[in-house]
Amino acid sequence: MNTDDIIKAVRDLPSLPAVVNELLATMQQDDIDTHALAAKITLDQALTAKTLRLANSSFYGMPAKVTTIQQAVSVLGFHAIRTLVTACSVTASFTPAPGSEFDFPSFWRHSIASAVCARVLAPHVRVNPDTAFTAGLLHDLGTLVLATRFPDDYRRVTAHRRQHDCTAAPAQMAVFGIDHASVGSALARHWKFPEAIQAAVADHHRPAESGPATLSTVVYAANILAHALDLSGQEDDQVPPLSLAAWQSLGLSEAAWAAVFAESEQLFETMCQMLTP
Amino acid sequence: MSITPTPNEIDLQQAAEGMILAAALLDAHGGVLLPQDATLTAATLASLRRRGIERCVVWSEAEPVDPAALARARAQQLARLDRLFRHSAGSDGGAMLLAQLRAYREGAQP
Repeated sequence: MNTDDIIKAVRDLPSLPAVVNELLATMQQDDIDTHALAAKITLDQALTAKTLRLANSSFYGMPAKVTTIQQAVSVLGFHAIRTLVTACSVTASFTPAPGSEFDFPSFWRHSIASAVCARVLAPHVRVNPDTAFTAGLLHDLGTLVLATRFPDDYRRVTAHRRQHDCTAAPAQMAVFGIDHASVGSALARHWKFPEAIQAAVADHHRPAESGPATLSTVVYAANILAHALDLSGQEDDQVPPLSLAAWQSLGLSEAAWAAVFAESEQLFETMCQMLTP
Repeated sequence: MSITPTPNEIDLQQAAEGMILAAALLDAHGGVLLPQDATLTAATLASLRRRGIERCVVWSEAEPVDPAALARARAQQLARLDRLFRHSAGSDGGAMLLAQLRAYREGAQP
């Protein structure tokens, strides 16, 4: 098995439902026919049911029940529904291999934590919170490709991590010669996510050395913040180093950080109950 | 020790006169039925039931906590922070994030 095999495994992954691809395409469009898209979402019954369950959760604080996608779009807005539908279909795309030792619940907890932290950080640096949420949710999907397609090799990654007390990326490099950031960005490309999201997934361990904060900075910091807030529930979790440049480009005051911590912790629990497959 | 009100989502069945809304109640079209911080009365409760509202978010006051237990919980949280930052407290941004989180954990309400 080499890097080419892994990239081939990514290309062999099933596509997302067609309507999700259409929704993703609208992330880069200005004029969107939300009515037509809502009607298309409705055609996918499983997706519709899950999206409505999410829309009716306390996360959105809706007093009355929404029963159709059209209603959900008019109450929550098209952007929120697009994010929910995408999140539902992405989390439904991977199932644990029988006998797998990979810790799926912790994986999803960390992905959802990063999505929530990205969403909370984004408005502070004028990044779209819905895009940030999606990028945060996707950022580690490369790990899931490696763990579900190559379960035997992935056992060695887990052993390497335990032995060296290191993060996932160096352990994956040692075993596969490629890390989850590269695999994940290939997957984001395969699934036709917007380029900014592909870049954020590719660079989530590689901060820019200077310049204003971008979506990539938000996802880089959100991943670190999710570890720092101890949201994945793994005893041996560790916070990756945070660059001074990224810290400064976020430019948050002490009060703003405290608010980010509190809001992230609060949103996380609700989001987790809804999105955990 | 101060008691902090926190938002608490409850069934309308559990809602009682005198409770204060922590979030505005909206109808299915996003129209405001009752604003945030409105006090529920017998009349508004009856009206909400008629409209088929099932849940609402009200302020509820957290129970006071034993100070010794609180101190132990704080100490545990700070020790956990040190463990999580075991490889990154030395990075410049990491040290600053750790400082903010320490302040947050030390000052946080129970």
